[in-house]
Amino acid sequence: MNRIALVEDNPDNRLLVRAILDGLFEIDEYASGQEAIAGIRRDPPVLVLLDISLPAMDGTEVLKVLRRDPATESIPVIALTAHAMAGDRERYLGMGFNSYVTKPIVDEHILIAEINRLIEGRGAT
Amino acid sequence: MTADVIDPAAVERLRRIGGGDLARQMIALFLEHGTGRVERATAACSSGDAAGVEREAHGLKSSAGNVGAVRLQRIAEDAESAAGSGDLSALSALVDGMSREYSAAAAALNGFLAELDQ
Repeated sequence: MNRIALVEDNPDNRLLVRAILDGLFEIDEYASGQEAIAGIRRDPPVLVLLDISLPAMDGTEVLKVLRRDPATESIPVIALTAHAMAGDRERYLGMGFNSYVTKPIVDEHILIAEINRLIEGRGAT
Repeated sequence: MTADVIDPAAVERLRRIGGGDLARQMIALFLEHGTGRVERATAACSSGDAAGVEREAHGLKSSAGNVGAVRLQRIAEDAESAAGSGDLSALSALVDGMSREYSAAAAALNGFLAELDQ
């Protein structure tokens, strides 16, 4: 089973994503950007679901660190965020996120399809 | 009345994804963290800390959306937006409204919890 990292500080969002992906993926959960960077470097997942509004170090900073490290630079990263204003999608894709899924997750199939699309694109099995 | 405060389809979605257990846990987490968020937003607003209001309103918006607290979600989004743009004149009324809508959502969700337990 493919393993993905979920970086999210809100426990209710972590619980919901875990329930949606239960049985489909193994999940490494991180509540902060610093924890996530250490864990992802130690044991790289096939994909990262990354919240933007994290305390101390936000998701865009985490992405920059992951992209600078050869061990993590090619891991697909999906921005998972409640920032859903006009132009946000283009802004996040422009920063280097591979995809963008808005919270609340109204249709869980969209999240699963995006994860599968990016993992298949990377050639993981 | 309850239908205005909570979108029952959201609770049903939680039940579909993870059964009554997930719905119960999501509502419990919303209630556990929501009160503190509203209190911190109110305190931040009183002290003119727009960034603090923005942070708490953002979290509340997301959690409200998960459990279908649609009115709270909307006003939290308005408060986040006003705080982000530094519109302090509008912020106090929005934070008061957010507090009222949180109380209404919490009461309605406690009703859903009782139904889920039956």
